Amino acid sequence: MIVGARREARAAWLFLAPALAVYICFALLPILEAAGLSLFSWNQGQARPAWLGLGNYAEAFADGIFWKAVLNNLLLAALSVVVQLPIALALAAMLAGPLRGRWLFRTAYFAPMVLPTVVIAFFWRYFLLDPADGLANATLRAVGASGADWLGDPRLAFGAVFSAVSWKYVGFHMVILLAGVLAIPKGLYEAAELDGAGAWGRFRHVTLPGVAPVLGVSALLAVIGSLKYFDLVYVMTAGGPDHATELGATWIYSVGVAQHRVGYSCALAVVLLAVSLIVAWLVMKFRRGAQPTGGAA
Amino acid sequence: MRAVWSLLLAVLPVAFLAGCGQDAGAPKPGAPKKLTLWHIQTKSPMKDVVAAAVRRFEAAHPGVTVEVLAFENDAFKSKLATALAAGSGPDAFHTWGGGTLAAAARAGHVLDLSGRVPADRLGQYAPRALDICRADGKLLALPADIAVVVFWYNREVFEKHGLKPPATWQEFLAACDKLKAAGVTPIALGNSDSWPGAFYFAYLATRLGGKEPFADALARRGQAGFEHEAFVSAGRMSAELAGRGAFSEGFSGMDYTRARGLFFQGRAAMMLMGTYLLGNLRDEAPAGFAEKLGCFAFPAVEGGKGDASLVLGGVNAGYAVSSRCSHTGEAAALIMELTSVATGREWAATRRIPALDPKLLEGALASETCPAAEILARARDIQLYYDQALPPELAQEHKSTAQALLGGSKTPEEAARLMEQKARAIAEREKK
Repeated sequence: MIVGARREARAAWLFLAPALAVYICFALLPILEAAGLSLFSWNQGQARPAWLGLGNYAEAFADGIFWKAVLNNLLLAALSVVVQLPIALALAAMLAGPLRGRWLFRTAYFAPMVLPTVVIAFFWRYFLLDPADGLANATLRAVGASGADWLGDPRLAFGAVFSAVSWKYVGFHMVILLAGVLAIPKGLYEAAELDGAGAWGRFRHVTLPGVAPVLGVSALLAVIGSLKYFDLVYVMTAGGPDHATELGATWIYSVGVAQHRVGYSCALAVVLLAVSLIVAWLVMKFRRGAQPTGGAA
Repeated sequence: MRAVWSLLLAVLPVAFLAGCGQDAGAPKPGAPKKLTLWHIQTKSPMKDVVAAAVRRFEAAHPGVTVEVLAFENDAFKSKLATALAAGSGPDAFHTWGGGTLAAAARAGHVLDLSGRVPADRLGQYAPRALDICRADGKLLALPADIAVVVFWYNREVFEKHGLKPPATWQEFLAACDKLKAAGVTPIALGNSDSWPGAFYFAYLATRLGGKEPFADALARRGQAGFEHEAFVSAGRMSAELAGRGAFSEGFSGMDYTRARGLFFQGRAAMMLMGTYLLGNLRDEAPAGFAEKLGCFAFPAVEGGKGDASLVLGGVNAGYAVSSRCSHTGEAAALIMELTSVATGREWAATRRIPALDPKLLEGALASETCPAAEILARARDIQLYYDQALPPELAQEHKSTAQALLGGSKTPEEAARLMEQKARAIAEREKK
């Protein structure tokens, strides 16, 4: 018995080893190295890192741009949950039903997810939002309004970038939620119908509770994704104009790579990691609180 | 079992280290030598000029081969900085000179070329280009290209609206207003990249105060720093220019590539840009555009204290040798070939200005380049682009405040104060 358990444990370690090795080499060690470097000053013009202690962290807490970027991350997370998930759920509920040509819609809504992010960014930047020839401004001008500087005006840029992010991720959440909706037993809908529930009633009392655990997973993915978001924003605005679309990751990149301040950018990365962990923990706690059987999700 | 594992774990890193150390061994005499060269000329015909120079070098140095890698501009900057810091960089590499190269040299990554280049060779280069390649009394690179920022204009549009190239800022503003009133976009600008718009700030500050306020602020001399009157006024004037609608609509969110497209298509009358704009003519401009293209110097500013002949510019291609290079003689010979008269004459055919004594370029410059080269020849001095002259962190602050000024989200006083605060914080940090 004990021998069997030990053999099993050894087999488990053997199977886990490759993934663990990759995780340790490419996630854990770099994080530890970054945490170590965050205690040093290592700027361009410095041959090797110089010990600084907590100086980088003192600077990080006073760095207005960084905290603006973190607030933008939180705003992105909140908007993703509040805007993207309801749209995705509505689409999932509609496409779960016996709709003619639903495979076409499912494919169409999911399509942005399989496009390379840079293609999406270029499409939005040069085709939709270009100030001179973009579809958005051409439409506005056709109806007599004047065009807007979507990515250049600090008041509009965040919304413009968020639209592109949503366009990409709504389809992704739709597919996850669709799986959740399809997993709800048909009998529940029939029972609800017998009880006289209309379309809204069936959605409110069958679909929504049935899909809640999956919705929780979607929300968690959206929040974590938003906190570490980088690529689409970097290609569309690189955090500009005047830091209006700056995110933690774009600012860390700009400090570390464009300004060559390696130590300080590591300290910012550690702070962002801490913020992300706290938020992720809060979301998980909230899910458990709202969902006693949340573990089943 | 456990012993085997521990042994494996203990041996693996050693094997890894041994693998890494291979290159460090002393080269055997007579063994074939290999040099690596990183540059940024990814497009023909510029790429072909570099390739031809490398072939000439290899032919003249039997037994030496050069491995050439070309990167896109931004990728190159981050890749080189990382590689140099990690000690794994190339033997010879592209550089823009100025503050970034000086910083890399202070970290011990760049070979001092003083005494390695014969005096008669040094005499062939344009002296101001060599200055941009020097720092702390060392010669850190050899210049291949010298670029100057001028106003390019569409002659056809100017003629149609009865305009002449303006000589003063007031004439320039009047020309902008006239074009605007006629429904023509006066100036194409793509400022999401932020450096094209920063040219206005740097040029205006240079016209208003000359080179001194910037040199003093950079060296932390005197009281005014980056809050000098010249910088505040330059900020105000560039914001005013944006405010009167002189730039293409949506310039803050548009990039340089799109903006030059507007200019090439004749949808904007002018563009303030370096001579490298001409490198894009062949692939991007419609047939016949080159004949309509003219250029004029940045206008003189009424009451400005700076010499109005000064130009903004820099070394847009130079070559340096890494301090880790183990074949320094060969690497120095390679970068001399990359900046030779033969290479320079081919470089001139790509419509760029080689960083050579103009006498050596007799008849080599392209017809579109000549007027800009004349503006450069008339200039009493060059002001290096601010972002190239500043250390990287301050350079980014400069570009982002200049962008905010044109976009109207920061006042000139705020922008100047932010620059000065950043400069002080950096100086403070370096003292520690």
